[in-house]
Amino acid sequence: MEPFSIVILIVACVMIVEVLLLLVRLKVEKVLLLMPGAGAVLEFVAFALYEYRDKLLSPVSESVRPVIIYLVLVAGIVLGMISIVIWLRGEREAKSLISAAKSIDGAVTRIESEVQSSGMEIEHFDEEMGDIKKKIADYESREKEVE
Amino acid sequence: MGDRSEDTVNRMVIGIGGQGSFIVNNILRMLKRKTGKIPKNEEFLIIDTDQASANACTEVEERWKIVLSRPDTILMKNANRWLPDPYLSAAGAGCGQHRIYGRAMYNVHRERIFNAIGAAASELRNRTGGKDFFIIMVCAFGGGTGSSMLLDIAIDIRDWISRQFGSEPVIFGMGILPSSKESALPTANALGTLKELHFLMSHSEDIIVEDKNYSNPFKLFFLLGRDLQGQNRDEELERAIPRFLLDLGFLPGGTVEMRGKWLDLNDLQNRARGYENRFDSLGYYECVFPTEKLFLYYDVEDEIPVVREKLVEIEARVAEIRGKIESQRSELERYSSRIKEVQRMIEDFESRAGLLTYVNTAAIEEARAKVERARKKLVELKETVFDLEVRVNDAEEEKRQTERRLERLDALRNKLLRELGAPKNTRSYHQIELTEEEIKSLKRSREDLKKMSFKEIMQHLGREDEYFRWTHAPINEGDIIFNPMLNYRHSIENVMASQYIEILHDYGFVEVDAQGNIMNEEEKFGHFIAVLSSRADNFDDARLGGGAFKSMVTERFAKDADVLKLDTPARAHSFAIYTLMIGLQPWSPGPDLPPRLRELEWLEYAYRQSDFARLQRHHSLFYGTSKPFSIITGIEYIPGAEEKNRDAVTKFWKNYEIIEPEAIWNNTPIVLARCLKMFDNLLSGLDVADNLNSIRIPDSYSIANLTMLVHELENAARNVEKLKRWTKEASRGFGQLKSQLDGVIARLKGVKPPLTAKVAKMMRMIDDAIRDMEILLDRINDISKRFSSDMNAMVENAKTFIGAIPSDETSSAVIRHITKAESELSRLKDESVKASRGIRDMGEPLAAMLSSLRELKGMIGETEEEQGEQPVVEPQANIELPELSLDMGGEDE
Repeated sequence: MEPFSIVILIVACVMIVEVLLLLVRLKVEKVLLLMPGAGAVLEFVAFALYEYRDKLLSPVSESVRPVIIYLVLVAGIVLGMISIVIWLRGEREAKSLISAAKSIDGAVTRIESEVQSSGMEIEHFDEEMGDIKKKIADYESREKEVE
Repeated sequence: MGDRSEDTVNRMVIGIGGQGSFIVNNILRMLKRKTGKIPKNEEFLIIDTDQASANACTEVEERWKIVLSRPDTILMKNANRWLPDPYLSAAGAGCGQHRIYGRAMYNVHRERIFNAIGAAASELRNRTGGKDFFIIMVCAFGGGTGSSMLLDIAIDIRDWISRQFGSEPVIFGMGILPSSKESALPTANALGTLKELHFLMSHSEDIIVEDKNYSNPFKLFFLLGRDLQGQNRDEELERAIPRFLLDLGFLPGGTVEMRGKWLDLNDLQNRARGYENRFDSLGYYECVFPTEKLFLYYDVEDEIPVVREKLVEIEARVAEIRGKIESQRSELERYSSRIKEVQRMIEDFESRAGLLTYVNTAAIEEARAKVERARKKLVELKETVFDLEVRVNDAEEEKRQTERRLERLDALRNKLLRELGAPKNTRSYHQIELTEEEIKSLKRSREDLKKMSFKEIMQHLGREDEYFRWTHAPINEGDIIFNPMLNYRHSIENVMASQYIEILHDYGFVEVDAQGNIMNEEEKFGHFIAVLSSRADNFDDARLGGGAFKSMVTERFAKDADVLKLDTPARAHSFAIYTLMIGLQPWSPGPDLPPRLRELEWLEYAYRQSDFARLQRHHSLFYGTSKPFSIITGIEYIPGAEEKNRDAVTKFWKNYEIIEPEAIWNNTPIVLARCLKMFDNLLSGLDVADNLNSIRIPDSYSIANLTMLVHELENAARNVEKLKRWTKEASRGFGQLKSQLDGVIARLKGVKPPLTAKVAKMMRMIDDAIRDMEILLDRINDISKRFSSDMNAMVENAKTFIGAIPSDETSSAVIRHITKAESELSRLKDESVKASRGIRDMGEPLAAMLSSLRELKGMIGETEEEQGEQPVVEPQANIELPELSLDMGGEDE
């Protein structure tokens, strides 16, 4: 096997790994797998065309054959790359959404704790004023007693 | 009474009716406040017909609240056949201030009342093991419940306890008389109650009819007035009654722990012996150093800046919180829109589809969850912030209220300062006045003040003399005797003109001491006890002068007197003087004189406003119990004739007088003194009348003589007219005197006679009066005959003088004088005829009076004869007796 064939196979394998990663690890939707899947298929087509160029590309001239093979190979790689770009873009947007949600949640939690502490403070004032009220009432009742 | 642990006397305090219950509640509150518990030998009960009023007595145990509900009219009628239809139900609360309804209620609920009282008595007996009972009953005399049930309950309790435990209980009563400003219904009720109570009190021997003993159940009955010297003194009364009972140990466990024995129930009963049939009263005087008020002032003064500082701090913090809330609210609003935005973004992100999009569902879910949580929190927070805002508003309002309270505290401090500097002192309460400098200086020695005695504090302030003036001098000077909690006149000299007193003195009925004070044995009330209550180191025996006070009291006011010192360690800063006046004489000292118990004036006035039909609402005792009524009073009754029997009871009460029969004899010298005084006045008047015709008629004419004659005639005509009016007034006066005399004679019939010495004095007065009257009648007869003819002669002389005026002298001025003189002569002639008739007419009431006097003399003569046969008479009376008998015999012939 020629080195070029090995390179094409490696690229094809990478594409398969990409599909598998997207499918198993990143759990993307199946539609997104179409492109890397198609890319992997194209890589295998490019491999087959390259390996069996004499049979499969016999009708075309020798000078056009590598062009076809390269085109198929690049098309496969492009499809794989596009799907990665789409995934990255989607991820970035998702992260920004999460961070926005997190920041809102954090702010609300902060306000909540502030409100709670204000509430406690008010409660404390109520108690203090209650004490003052009680004290004054005590003085007033003492006044009645000493009358 | 000194050692409380050995006290096995069971004590019950029973409040009947609204005011009685209120006072009992007050006693209980004071007892609980100072000691925190009720001694095991005491129980407090209330009996009321008004649920609301009973509910207000929060200190009394529910099981000892006997609230009597109104029965329906059928039950009421069945239980009280005698009850008139208009009184089958009551208007307003309780008994509607109708005593007759109160009695009917008592009949309906008697069993219930006794079950409760019996249960309380049995419980006490089991708790203490003692069989002796001391009961205090308190009620107002003006209401419907207390005043109507008091007597029956007292009798029934006495009988029940006597039968049950074999020992007669000692019962003290306390009755509150209405003020002069109260309406006619309660005021007249009070007289009805007083009449019934006095009737019952005057029966000391057992009278058992239908298993009920109608003898006096009370050992002492204290009357107390709501208005004293024209001022409402309810507050003083409310303070004085509990203090009196608790401080003096009638209800041990009270505010003051005393050392040593002062006067126990037996002592008190012994002193009251012989006066059970008379009313009693209490007096209360207290001088205090205002330590508690001063300490309160210091505390308030110290507290105000602390509170103010705290409020300022609270205000700043609340304002800060409010600011925070504002920013939090706007932040929440901002985040609210941000959430919406993120939600929109999520939705956008989620809605993307196709080959060229990638949506991270897990991330979206996470973001959505976070946003949703934030949203929920935000919604909750908005509510919390709103609540917080409300609470901040509330806190601000509360702060404002606290500021107002602080203002009140400030006002309280100022009030205390005012009260310390210028207290509202009354006759019965004196608080030492303090200057601002003294208040400031005493603050420095605040702690020492608690240990120092009243006397030491005053010494420390350099005001020792003042201390003695307000604490010891009232006893020396006898001020406290004039201070009962009742409008009571101790001496006749307050109500009687000095001229009558002089006559009474001349005949030996009253004595006058060196200072000109009247001393009359008849007037004195029974026993006077003054209890001085203070910590031992506040007394200065050398300055008290109790002996001098005692002799002054016994000389002028009471037959017996005691001044007792009570060492009360708790009274370090007060000096109280409690007085008990036993055996008062409420009636008036003589006809047409105001009663000694001034309350009787307005009570009688209100009572007289009711006609016979309405009078029954003011009475209670003996309605429906005709048989005992008949047996006790001797008035016939018809079995079954409820209406007639009821009217007989009403009539009896209507005519009943609150006076001891023997005291009616004391009226006699006063009426006789009036007779003698009037006779003197009449004689002087007749002398004046006799001289009226002595007009000088000139011998010869001159214009000066004519002018003088005209003046004299004018004066004479005026004087004769005056004489005519005077005779009319005198006739009316003698008419009144005659009716007074007849009234006394009528009341004296069947009354036990006084001592012979007194009879002899009265005989001398009557003899003098009869002699004066005979002289008077002769004078009247003589003058009435002469007066007109003498006047006519004088008129004729004057006419002769006028007729002799020469015609050439009749100038216009002379003619005017002549005309005037003639008109005066004509007036003089007419008026003299009328005056002469007036003088003659005076003879009629006088002649009637003469016969009344002779009748009185006859009565006294009989008395004297009866007493002559009695073995025990005063030695001096025997000396005068024969002479008087001879006089009387002579008159009879």
